[in-house]
Amino acid sequence: MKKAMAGLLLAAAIGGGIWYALKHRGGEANAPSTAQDDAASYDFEAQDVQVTQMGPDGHIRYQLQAKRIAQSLESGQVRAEDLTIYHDPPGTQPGGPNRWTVTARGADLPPEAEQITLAGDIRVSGVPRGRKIPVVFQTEQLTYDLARQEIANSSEFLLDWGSSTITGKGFKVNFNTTDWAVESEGHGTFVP
Amino acid sequence: MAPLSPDSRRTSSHRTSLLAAASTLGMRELRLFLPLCALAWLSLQQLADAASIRSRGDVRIEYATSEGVFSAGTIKMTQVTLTQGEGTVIKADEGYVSNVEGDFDNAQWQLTGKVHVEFEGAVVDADTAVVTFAAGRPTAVRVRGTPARFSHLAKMDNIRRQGRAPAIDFDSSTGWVRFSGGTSFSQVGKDIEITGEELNYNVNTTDYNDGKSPTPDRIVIPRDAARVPPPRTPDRSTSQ
Repeated sequence: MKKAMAGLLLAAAIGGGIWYALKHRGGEANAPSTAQDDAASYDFEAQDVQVTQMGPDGHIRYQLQAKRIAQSLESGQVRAEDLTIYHDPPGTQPGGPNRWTVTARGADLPPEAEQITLAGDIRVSGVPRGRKIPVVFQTEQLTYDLARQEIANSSEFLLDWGSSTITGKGFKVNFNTTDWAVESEGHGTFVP
Repeated sequence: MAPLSPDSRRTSSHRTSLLAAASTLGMRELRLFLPLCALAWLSLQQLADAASIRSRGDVRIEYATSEGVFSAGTIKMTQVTLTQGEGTVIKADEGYVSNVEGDFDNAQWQLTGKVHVEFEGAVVDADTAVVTFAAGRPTAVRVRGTPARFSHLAKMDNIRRQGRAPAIDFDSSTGWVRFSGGTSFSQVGKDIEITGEELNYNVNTTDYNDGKSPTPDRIVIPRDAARVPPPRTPDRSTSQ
């Protein structure tokens, strides 16, 4: 009886070993096919990208740098990761002191749209024309209208301007005119 | 290395004296002494923190909405309240300031609608006001109203004086308040009222004159029938 049990256990162990070997033999070959499936969902994908958008007048409208940029095959939507956008207001020196810089962890650009939706660790900074001290906004959500060069958000934000700090909910800034507005829940502190 | 503040120096010297005291004690006394040290240290820390907060003259702003132009340095705020420390409160339906850059120093706030100012122990209610900030604090307050109302509780005699006039100008560097355009001024609890085209009152010394005569007694006249409407009481909810 004992011999029969031992035989059965041995047969089960050998069978299990064969099954395990057969099962995992093709495992490594499956991984590239998954990556190919992911890549197939993009129309294009590029890494460490720099895009320079010219305006109809031949001047640079904005420059965009991203660690990765990809367009969805289905929706046509472009997704950028770890991006930085630069904008020089008209009449200012490209790359000069009045350049506005927007950084974010990610951004979505719908097809045929001039409005980017940014999210995650957003920082907007620039020295307004005629001023010397930089303005720095921080928030987690933002829309950026590239045609109007206007940023807007509906959530909480923090604005640092020199020794002043202003918080609120919902702000709008036009980079070209430097007009700005805060919708609600405003608080501020300035250190004399 | 930054120099120690007076508070941190005081805290440091207390710590040194506590250590010196501890070195002379036995184990039994130490069991009592150590918790007392911890309590003393905590209270000194709180004292130092509180002092550092009090010493800051930050101006805090609350507002409903705001807008402006960065390049022009303009800011317009609605339902604005500016507070500094415990004594200065400035409230208005709308506040406007121009030519600011990063701070509001040397800036003039133009306030309109239900203007309420608490400043240097004085309370002013008016229709409009211009408040000038310099060296980190309000240095001049000019209010206009129909009429504007003023009240001041003097520390030196604990007497409240109040007045009204279409124009009230306050210079904090001298302490003089100028009432003009037809004024009425009185002391609460005293049966006198001063009326005239102009009156000057000093919040530091409680001196007053009509701008022509330096002797205050000459312009005191008996109270007439009209009583001075009292200004609003200080808004404690915002001044805390």
